[in-house]
Amino acid sequence: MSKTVKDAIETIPTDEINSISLSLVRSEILTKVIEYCKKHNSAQMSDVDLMDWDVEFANVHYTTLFDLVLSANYMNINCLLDLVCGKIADMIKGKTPGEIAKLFDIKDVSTYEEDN
Amino acid sequence: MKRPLSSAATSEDRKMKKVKETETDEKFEKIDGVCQKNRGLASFDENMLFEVLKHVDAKTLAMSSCVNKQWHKTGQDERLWELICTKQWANTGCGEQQLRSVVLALGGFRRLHSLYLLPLSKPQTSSSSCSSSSSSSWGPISQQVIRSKPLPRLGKDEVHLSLSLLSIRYYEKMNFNNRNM
Repeated sequence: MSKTVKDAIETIPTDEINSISLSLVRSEILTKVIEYCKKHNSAQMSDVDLMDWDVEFANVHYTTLFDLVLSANYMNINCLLDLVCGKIADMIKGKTPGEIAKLFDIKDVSTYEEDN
Repeated sequence: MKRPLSSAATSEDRKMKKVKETETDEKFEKIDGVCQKNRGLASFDENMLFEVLKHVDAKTLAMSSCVNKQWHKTGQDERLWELICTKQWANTGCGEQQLRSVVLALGGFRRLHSLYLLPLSKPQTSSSSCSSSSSSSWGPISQQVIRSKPLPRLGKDEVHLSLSLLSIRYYEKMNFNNRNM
């Protein structure tokens, strides 16, 4: 599922692989990523159940979501990236710029006029 | 003589470092009582923001452009507006690359959307409700959501019309500039 890991396995000779370094991924986030990959690779759940599971999985604090985005991007797992980005997108939908800034604790808020 | 000075300097540095560390430690403890720095957002560069904004609708993208400089820069990206425009199009009748080069030459997808696609997408409400809804766009949003129909898929005619209008606007501006010269 992870292209980064797949590429690492393919490029390094199998005799020499002891570990693959994922320096940018924290352990608790990696745990979540592994949980996601295991769930999606197991053929046990139906599509509907898997979607419900995905919704529950993404129901976390936004800092965890950001870390998941960064990790999914680093590890090149497209479906996880889509899921988490979609969740963050849902969080900002329908909000004013001020509310978005408040939600994500964004400093350096500028005032731009809305073009559209 | 130098040594005592340098040691004084380093002890000052150490003090400064300690002050900084305690400040960041306080930040660490802020969220969830667990040591999580708000680094998620600090390292949330434009590429990540781009990935997130790929999933939003036009209104949200416009709102996001008003948050801060980084979000503004990312929200102006033509590729995001291209995604938003082409989502609504059933069939344009021409290749993707061709369409992209034409629209970008004529002013871009963002302009196309705001000037010509947005009016097409707006729900057909009566004149009285229209005036009230236009004055406070975010207030009675729940009512608007209930009243408005889902975004229509624009057919070939609407797409060609909007592209034609964009071309006309481009040439009008071009002619105007020539006249002034």
